[in-house]
Amino acid sequence: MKRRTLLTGVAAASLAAPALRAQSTTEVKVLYSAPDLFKTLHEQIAAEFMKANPQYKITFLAPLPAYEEAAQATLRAAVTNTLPDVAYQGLNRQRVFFDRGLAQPLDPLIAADPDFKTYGHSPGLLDIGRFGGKQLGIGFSVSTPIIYYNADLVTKAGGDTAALPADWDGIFALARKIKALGGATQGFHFDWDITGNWMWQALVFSNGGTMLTADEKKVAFDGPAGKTAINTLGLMVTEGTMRDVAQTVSLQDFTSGTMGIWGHSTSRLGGVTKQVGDKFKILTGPFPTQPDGRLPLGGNVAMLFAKDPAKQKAAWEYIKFATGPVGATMMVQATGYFPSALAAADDPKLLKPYYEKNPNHLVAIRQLPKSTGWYAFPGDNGIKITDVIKDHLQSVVAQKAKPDAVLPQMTKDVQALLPSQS
Amino acid sequence: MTTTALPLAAERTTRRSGQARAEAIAAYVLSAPAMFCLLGILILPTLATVVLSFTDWQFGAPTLRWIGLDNYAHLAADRVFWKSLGNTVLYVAVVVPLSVGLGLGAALLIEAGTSGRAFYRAAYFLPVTATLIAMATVWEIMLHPSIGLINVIIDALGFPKQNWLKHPDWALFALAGIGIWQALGLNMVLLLAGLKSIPRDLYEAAAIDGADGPWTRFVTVTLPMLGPALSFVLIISAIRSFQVFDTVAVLTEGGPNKATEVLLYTMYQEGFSFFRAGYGAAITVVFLAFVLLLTLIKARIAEKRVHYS
Amino acid sequence: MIARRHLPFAVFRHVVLAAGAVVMLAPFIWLLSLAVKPADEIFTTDIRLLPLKWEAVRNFTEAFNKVPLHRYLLNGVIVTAAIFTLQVLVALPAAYALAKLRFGLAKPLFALVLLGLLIPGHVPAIPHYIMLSHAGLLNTYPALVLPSIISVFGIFWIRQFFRTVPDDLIHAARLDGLSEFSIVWRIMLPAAMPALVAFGILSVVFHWNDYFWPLLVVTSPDMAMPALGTVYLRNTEAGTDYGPLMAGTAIITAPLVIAFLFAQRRFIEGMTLTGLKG
Repeated sequence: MKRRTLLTGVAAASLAAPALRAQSTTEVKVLYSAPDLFKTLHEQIAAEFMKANPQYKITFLAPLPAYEEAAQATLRAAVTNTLPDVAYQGLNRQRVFFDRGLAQPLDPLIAADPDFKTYGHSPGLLDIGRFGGKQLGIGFSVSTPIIYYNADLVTKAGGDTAALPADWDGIFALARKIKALGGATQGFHFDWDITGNWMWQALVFSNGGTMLTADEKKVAFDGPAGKTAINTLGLMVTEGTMRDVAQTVSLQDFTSGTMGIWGHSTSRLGGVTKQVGDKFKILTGPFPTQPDGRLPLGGNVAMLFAKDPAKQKAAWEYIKFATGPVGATMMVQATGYFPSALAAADDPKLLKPYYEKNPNHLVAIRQLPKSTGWYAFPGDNGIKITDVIKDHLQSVVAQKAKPDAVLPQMTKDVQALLPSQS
Repeated sequence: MTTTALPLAAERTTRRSGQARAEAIAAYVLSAPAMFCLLGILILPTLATVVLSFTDWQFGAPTLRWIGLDNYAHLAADRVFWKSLGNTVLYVAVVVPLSVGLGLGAALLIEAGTSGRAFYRAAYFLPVTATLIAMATVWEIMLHPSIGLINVIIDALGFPKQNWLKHPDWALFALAGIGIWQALGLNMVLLLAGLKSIPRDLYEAAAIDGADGPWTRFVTVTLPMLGPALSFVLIISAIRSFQVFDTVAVLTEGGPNKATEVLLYTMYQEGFSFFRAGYGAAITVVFLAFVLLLTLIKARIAEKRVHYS
Repeated sequence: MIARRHLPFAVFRHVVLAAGAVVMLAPFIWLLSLAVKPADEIFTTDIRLLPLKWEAVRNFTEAFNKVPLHRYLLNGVIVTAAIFTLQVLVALPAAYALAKLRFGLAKPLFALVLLGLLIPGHVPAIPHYIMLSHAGLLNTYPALVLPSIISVFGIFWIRQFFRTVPDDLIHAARLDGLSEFSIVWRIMLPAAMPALVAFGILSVVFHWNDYFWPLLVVTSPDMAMPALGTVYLRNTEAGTDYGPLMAGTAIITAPLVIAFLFAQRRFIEGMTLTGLKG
């Protein structure tokens, strides 16, 4: 008798418990990419968030390798009605979601939230997420391209670590000296194939150029800035000792202390510094720019896709947390990115001590004044255009074609993929 | 007499036709699930793919237009498509002869002795069952430009290290190497079966006729008798290697610069990455046409085999 | 071939076959070797089979921490078992009908089966994806299982086998009062065991190793199949943590390899069917 009532009680409780839980937790589905950079970080941020907000549950979809794939996955999800509630998209992949009306504006949520203004987001950085007058994305991790130096190799090759090169010729000369040290030592690598042609834009923008004309109808990187840009890429191979290797290889070469100079995003600075430990000293320097040159911002923003009001509220709390000072502090200490909530960098209770101990991270932030957006091509073929540009640049790096022959062909191919060209 | 025989015969016929009807009904019920699935999962979707190839549908677009042969016209003018098709054919042309030839060599050697047969058979067949994606990841590290096992060995032999998977000329051959490694065991096992079925007395007869050396035995008895099995294995190998996808998707993504772009990967890219579903369907139809051709050749060869045996 | 061989040839045979076996097995051996090494012993040109510093525990725990490896294996088992079971449920009765029963649609149905044999699996992928997305089934077990439940090769192969089963067996069963349905499952299924084992191995190995379809339909980390899971693991590693990557890959590869080593003959029998399947 007793046992049966006990069992019924347990059965009733176990049946009721999931129902109770369902009533009280709202699940927020989140999509992100680059798990090698972000998996542990996102899980930590989510854990902290759920601790402070037990009524919300953060579930992550399978992370995509890079921003391109994340954008494709989100577009596919829109068609199959399986959109995540929150998705971290590359800065250059926000546009397509604005064009197709898929991203939900954050303005009403911001207006109704008194906390948000106190989070210290930089207005300039908030702008990179504004489209058509609406706030669609809030920066989670932002970057600019920088140059990493193996200080030990630089000194060994006779370079001056207090006066790192300011232009490409200087970098190439130093690279040659480092390569001349012999053995397995490599001089220099430039990760030109970073997702979304980011580094190509860096080369063109830093020379004062743009991707398209102001009316976005014609390709503009065939002008003088583009010519300089593609020639620089060619010179990296012919004069800068750069080899045609994959990004994983250049990363391995730098972290193992075999390579002297590395052109990459500031994003990996945290991970690389931890991995290198005290094997050698890392220094960072600015990306060479002309006086009128700019640099593309990189990184990703949090975007809202949920339409249901309850989900939106939960998603907004999560976005606020992840991009706010608490999330930013965790993010900066795990990677090399800087946050949108820049005020945290000056806060002695948050990030100020960290930046004082790790001045390498400041190089990317100091380039902010000359930064501009990560350009997104208009129309439906954005992702294909990225692929086309990448293939052409590959032929320069592989020395299969000369830069001045590749540029006109690349221009033609991209022009054909712009809207209203068929 | 006759009046009683007729009704009996008629009764037997009605009983038999009743049985026949029951048999037919049972047959329909038993094969109904298969018929339903066959049409719904295989036949109709394949037709849908063909129809889709005549439209301009982009995945997610609310409408589509009939554009006739436009997709095929674009394909014919698409540099990437031709490179992809060419790469696929080249890949097949490398993998088939080598994986079949080496498989034949292994089969002959295994069959030529009695010791270690089970071990060698297992060792050569293991790559066939292993998950290709997983083993490709291992191959990638073995092909690493500086620390990869392959390059270290090459370096020790005095040759320069190569960036195999990023080399515009060698990348496809590196993938073909992995393809050969994976296919060899299957071909070997199929040829072993073929070798075992060659009657021993043929060798004895040849010996009596003076053809006693190993090479003459091979040429006069083994090769001709193995002919049908060999052609069968060749065509199967061709069909399988034509469908290469995994190693490309994971190791090179069609690069560098489309040097390892293959037909199925292009279909995947266009249909699912670039959302050009109609265009992707057109590529699928071309893929189907090629495989169909190879399969029909295989059916011919299979028929001949039946006649031979 | 009669092995009337002299010693030199026996030596030659073993040397050549062993060298080939080394090449065939090298990736597996190297996989295990890297899985137990620390990073600095991986990123070196000093080639050693055994590590100087044993890092197996760290590598394997890291691998499990990075991605849900156990889920990938579990999904592999669930999905391949479901697919094979449903394939048999659909194919066996149809094969019996085509082999032993007379009905009007027999010839057209068999013609359809032969037609189906000509269609490679990737061809209906785009419509399958669209159908499943409309049904809201993407990223679920049904999405992984349903497109594969019709195996025309299974129908063909089992039918061929059934044609060798003597008719008397079936007549006797009918006389005993068994319905056709019972005949299928009580008489034909046991009789078809050898053919089913071979087909089962073919089906399980193929779907366990499949990458293309899970790549399309899976979006949650927990729903991945073994091949896709390997890629997830690979994406989580920045190109510098090869130890855990190899450890995780070893775990994912292990089940099929171990199964093969235990049932080699069966595996080989089953896999040679890929020849007929095309």
